[in-house]
Amino acid sequence: MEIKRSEHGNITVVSPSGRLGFDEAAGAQEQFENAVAEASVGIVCDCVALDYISSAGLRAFLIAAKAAEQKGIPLVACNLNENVASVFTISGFDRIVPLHDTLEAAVAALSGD
Amino acid sequence: MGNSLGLLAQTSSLVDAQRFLVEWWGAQSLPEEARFPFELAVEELFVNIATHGQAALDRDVNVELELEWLGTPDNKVILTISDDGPQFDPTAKEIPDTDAPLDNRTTGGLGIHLTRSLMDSVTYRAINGRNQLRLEKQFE
Repeated sequence: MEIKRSEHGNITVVSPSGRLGFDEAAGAQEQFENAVAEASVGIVCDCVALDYISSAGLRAFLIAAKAAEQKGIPLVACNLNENVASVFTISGFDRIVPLHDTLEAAVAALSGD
Repeated sequence: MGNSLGLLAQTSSLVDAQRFLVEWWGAQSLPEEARFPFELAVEELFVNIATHGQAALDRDVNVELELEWLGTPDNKVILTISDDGPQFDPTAKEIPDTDAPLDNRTTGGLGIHLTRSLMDSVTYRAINGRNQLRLEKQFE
């Protein structure tokens, strides 16, 4: 899967697109981990183009969240569609990766604005 | 197109299972936005069988997917997944602790928990040496 990366001020934004299921999870995990390794202040996962996620995809988020915690930087997500959001809330992952409605709100939360 | 598909329980066949669902769904002219719980269920259950079920044996495990649409007044899709792997009832698994702190989190058991939460019903039975899971969801 393609995961775009950009910087909003000193916040790193990763944007996975398409599906994040069993077949995509290993690649996504590696890219999330790279993003965490290179981020300095915080990471936002912008899910605006993410169509689908399963428990395998959640695992990529879990590993990224653990890496971010170890590094002492926050990881949040935003712009989840209804299906992806339901997977996060049913699994309680919204307590591991806080969810925001918009990218602006997520960046602002991490920037301390 | 047919209502059932037989596959070997190997993760490389997941893509075929998903394609079968999507094509069947389209052929029934069902609303695309209602497909997600079934896509997730097919992935979670098929991967479970292909990884755990298959790993326990030194022979191939066969999986069969079957889909059925009951129109008015039921408005319900029924997905049946059966396999000839080791007897295993995923509905008997404990619900994972979705409140656990980050350090103690795993994704073990989340697939079946998500599936059960998104479906109206998930019923297991062992029949003729096969595991059979029947999943139902009604549309509004």
